[in-house]
Amino acid sequence: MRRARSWIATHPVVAFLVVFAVFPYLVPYKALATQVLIYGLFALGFNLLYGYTGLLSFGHAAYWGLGAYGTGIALAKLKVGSLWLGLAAGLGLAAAGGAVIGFFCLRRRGIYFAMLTLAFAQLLYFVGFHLADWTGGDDGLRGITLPPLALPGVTIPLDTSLAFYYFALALVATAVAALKRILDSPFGAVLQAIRENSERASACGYDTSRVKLLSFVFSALFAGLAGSLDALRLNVVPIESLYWTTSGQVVIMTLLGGAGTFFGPFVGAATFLVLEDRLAVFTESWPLVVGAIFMAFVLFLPKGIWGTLLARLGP
Amino acid sequence: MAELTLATLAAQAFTGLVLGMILVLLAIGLSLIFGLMTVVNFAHGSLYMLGAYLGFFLIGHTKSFWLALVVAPLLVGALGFGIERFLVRPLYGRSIDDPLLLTFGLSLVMVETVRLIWGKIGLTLDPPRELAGAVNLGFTYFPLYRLFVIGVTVVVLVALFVFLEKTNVGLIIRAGSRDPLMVKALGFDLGRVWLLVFGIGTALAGLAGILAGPMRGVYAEMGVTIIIESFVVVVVGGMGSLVGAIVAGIAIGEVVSLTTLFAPKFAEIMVFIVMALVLLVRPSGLFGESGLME
Amino acid sequence: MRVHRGRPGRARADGDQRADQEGRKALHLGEPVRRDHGPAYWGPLTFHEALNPTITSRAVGNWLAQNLGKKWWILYADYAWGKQNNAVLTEVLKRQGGVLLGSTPYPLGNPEFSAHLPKILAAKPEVLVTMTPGADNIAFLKQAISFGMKKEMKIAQPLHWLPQLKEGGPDLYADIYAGINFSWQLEDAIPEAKNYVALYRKKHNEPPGDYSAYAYSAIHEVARGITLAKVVNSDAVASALIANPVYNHYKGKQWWRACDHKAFQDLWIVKGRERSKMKGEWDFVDIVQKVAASEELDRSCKEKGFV
Repeated sequence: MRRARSWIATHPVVAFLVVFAVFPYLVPYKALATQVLIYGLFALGFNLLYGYTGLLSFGHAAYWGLGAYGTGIALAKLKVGSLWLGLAAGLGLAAAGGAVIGFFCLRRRGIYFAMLTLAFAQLLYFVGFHLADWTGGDDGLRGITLPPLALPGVTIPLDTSLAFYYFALALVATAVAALKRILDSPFGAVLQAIRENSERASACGYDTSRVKLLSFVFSALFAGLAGSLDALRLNVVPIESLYWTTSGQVVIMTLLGGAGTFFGPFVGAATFLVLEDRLAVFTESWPLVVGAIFMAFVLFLPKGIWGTLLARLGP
Repeated sequence: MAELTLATLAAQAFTGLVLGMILVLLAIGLSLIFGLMTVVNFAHGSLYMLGAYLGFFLIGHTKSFWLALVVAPLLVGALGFGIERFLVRPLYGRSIDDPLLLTFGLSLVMVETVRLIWGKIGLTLDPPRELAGAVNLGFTYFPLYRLFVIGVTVVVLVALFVFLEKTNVGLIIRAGSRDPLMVKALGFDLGRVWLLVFGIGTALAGLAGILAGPMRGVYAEMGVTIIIESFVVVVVGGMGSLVGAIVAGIAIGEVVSLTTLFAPKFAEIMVFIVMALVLLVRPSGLFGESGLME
Repeated sequence: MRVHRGRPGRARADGDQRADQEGRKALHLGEPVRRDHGPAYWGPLTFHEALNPTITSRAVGNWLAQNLGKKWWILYADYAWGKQNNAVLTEVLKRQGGVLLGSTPYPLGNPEFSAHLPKILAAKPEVLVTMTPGADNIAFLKQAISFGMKKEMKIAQPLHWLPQLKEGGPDLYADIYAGINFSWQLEDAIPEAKNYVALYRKKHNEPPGDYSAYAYSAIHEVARGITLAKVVNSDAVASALIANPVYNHYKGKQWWRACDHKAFQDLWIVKGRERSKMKGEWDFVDIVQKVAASEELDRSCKEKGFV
């Protein structure tokens, strides 16, 4: 058991790939698997900022939305025709948003910070709502065609759900690998030091403002990639992508899974989405159940599912 | 485009005042709770909504708006006691974000519960006959009920001021906001003070709800947009500052009203722009103290 | 064959023709996409049954300008439906030689209208036309009445909806004009309506509303299509309906236009009734005038972008 655990800890990307390679066959339908992958990535990004750096953002819908709209506008309005360019546009927009909003919000800490992130995200929502010529307004951005995957020498169409799933998996796995690199680096250590005690990290001589901003931007990048993938998955970008309920969802997912753990976000995303999917069959009031479960977790299982599991299994 | 007369401007300013009053009631509750306990009550909007629904329920059973006006906030305050004692207090000592997360979950639960009990279609809450109708203010006809809302809010604010400044309990609350450790060291049971403050803050939210119901209708989502506006007011006024909550509440109300007059499309966005500007110039808000849980 | 009733969901592009896992394609019957767009939103399996903003606002707008007054103010929810109706009404008023004193958007779902009202009162329009859907409708009317506006001007909106009439009641809705696709009082004048209303009352103990009628008609259309095609298959049913476009399930002759699969139908101008004049708890509206079905009321195939 311990050997398995330490192997997983040192080879998280491989472990991730193994599990998610077969994941579509473990869930009721393939579209759910793709959703788990994408929202898991979203939560991964959020977790970098909250779980590892200790900054609670209540406005992460902004970067998800920027990623989605960036890719959507590039493909549907500007008609760039290339999958890679579309993704790059989404990533670029999300990173830019992260840098600008992060710069403003990080001037405050604690609760002010959280409220500011929420406010900026709402601001972005209203802007998106009103720039209807670009974003489609409340109708959403439509007409996003999914270009085939152009690799050197081969072009792979992505129009079946399974093909798209594995494409998304490749990108998400890359993101997971990137996160591992970030966390293992000295930068990653400073992040966690900041989470534990920001003043002390500062006293040790680290430029905490710069580190926090970088963490914010990385977090926005992951969230933006997730948003881009979702735009490609749905072929539309709904305006709700920018609404604070989307921010709330990623918070719930991360907490359910386990903030501050590596795989917690994916566990949380899977739990939330499967729960939502199965509950919706029985009752229209499934948000009540999810809300109650979330409250129970905050009170009694603050480490989340994965976090509690890891803690139980020993150091 | 209609000519912009002084009368229209004055009427607009008056409507902004009413908008502000509701925000003030909400922001004061939020600020009290935050100032003393450093807890951000995300469920504040849902408690506002509950105040309106309980008002509807009570009027249905007692046929008296006045009775409902008094009892509904008390009921919401009682629920506030429960929330503090059993949901928020266990989180004491843990991360400062935890009560925010918990109350966020609570707001989801409350909205759905209300939908289950009262249905998904909104309800109608009518002001009492005595308050229906409009009053000629000279520059415009103004609904009597809205004047009533202004009046009630002023009375409540005065009562709150008297309570905080002139009573012993008020003194403890103010001291507890400034230095909770010292107050505890002096032997006061902070737990009971928290209970009271949470109860008062939530009761104010409930009052805002039942006051707003006849103006805007009663529906499960009514707390959702107003919670964000309330947060903006508290952040602009300065978290923990009651004067700030009042000034910022009225200011934001006027901003919304006047922007609607001149540039209706920007009304929602303007609120956030004002917030961003204020925070750039005065990071702790207009009346906030820097260092207070910044 | 799968059938989808209602608004195409956001996650599904309109006219989605991908077969699902079991090889079935969906037949969509429902309200048109709110931006009444052309070919980009069309699909051979999608049928647009309900009135769209162009038809409604042209019909209602013409009647208002000819009967109530030509100095208007428009207040509209700042989203697709509101914006479209605003555009159509503005154009109608211009053609009728009227004057638009002002047109104000408000954020959809924001129930606080007081900030808009003083300006409108000061402008003194003859008719105030509002697009305040859903809960906003109730909130708006309450506030407008509390500011004394019902006495100062005529108030109209593109549509009335029975559930809202019930919720707001005659105190709110009396004297408010609107268009409507169906009202149960038509049972007295139209045999198909009488049949439908009777069936509905029997099942639900109350009269049918406007949108329930759309659903009733839509399901009957699916059945009619299957009967005509003699096979349960989306493509066949769709072709059969277009080949035999005329139908009448609840209120009179309706037909599908081939280029855009739009249903053309009669609609009525109604006015809210005062409480004292109501003959029964559901008797909310006075039927003022019928507006006969006409392809002139919608944009032409060419205008929509169809060849």
